Amino acid sequence: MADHPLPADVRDLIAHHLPTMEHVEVLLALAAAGAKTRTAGDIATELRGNAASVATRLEDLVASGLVAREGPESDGAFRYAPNSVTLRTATTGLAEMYRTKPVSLVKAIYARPPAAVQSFADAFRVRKPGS
Amino acid sequence: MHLAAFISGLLAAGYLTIGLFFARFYKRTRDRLFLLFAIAFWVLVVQRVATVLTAEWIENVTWLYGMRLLAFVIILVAILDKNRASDG
Amino acid sequence: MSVADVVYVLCALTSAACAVLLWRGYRQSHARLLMWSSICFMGLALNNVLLILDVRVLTQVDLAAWRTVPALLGVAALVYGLVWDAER
Repeated sequence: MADHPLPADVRDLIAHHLPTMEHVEVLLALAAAGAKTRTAGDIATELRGNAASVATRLEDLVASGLVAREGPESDGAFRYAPNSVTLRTATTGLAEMYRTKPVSLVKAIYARPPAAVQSFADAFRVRKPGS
Repeated sequence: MHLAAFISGLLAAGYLTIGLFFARFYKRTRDRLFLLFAIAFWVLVVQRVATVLTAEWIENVTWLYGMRLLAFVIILVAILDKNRASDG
Repeated sequence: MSVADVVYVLCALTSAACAVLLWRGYRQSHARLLMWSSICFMGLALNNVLLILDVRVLTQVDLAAWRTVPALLGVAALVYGLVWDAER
């Protein structure tokens, strides 16, 4: 809708894949690294966060098709690898919003509809995007 | 007769509640699908109330099933709208 | 087929489509709200089918109260789901 400060694709990305601010920060940290791989430890150091917590966010992002595991699991290396143009464009928009409208972004994360409600709306999409 | 009116009343209350939840989901998600579902269920409320207030059990009065039709057409529109909106 | 039959068939088909889509969504997301919603639309679909039977086929038996029972159970299921499973 016109009165929402965030673009629709960014809102969609948040609604489906980014339940917490930490997901946003981990995703953007990886996206900023481009094609380079990073570990949970690297990202935790950069974000001054906790490596175990970052690792679980990375798993979520892999499941969402935003990030890919690189090499054997023991390496713990991840790379930004959105599996669709839609996700890539939305992530670029997300980075822009993170820079320019951080307050709106945080608000959107907290106002995120419950997963069940989102699933209800998604159920009526006859063709599932990207699955 | 009384049982029928009682059941209609229960249904109307149920549809009203369901519509309110959908309205809340609309406020939260701004997804038109929820707004249209809310309206559809409220149309069903009016239809149920009208059923009782008119001839009680004559559901095949034209404008009564016209309202029922309206409710389901709104749901149909919501589904079509969802699939059109997600194309872009 | 009268206009009323067409209306009831359309309503039944729309409800059934919702039930199928919601059940498919439930299988994918495991969100129980979708299961309750699917049950609700099954009830509404059955209600419309019974209406056709009542008006058209079984003219000598009055199904007036019975035909609303599936709708009532469906509505109760969805209200339960909205209250308990919508915030997950």
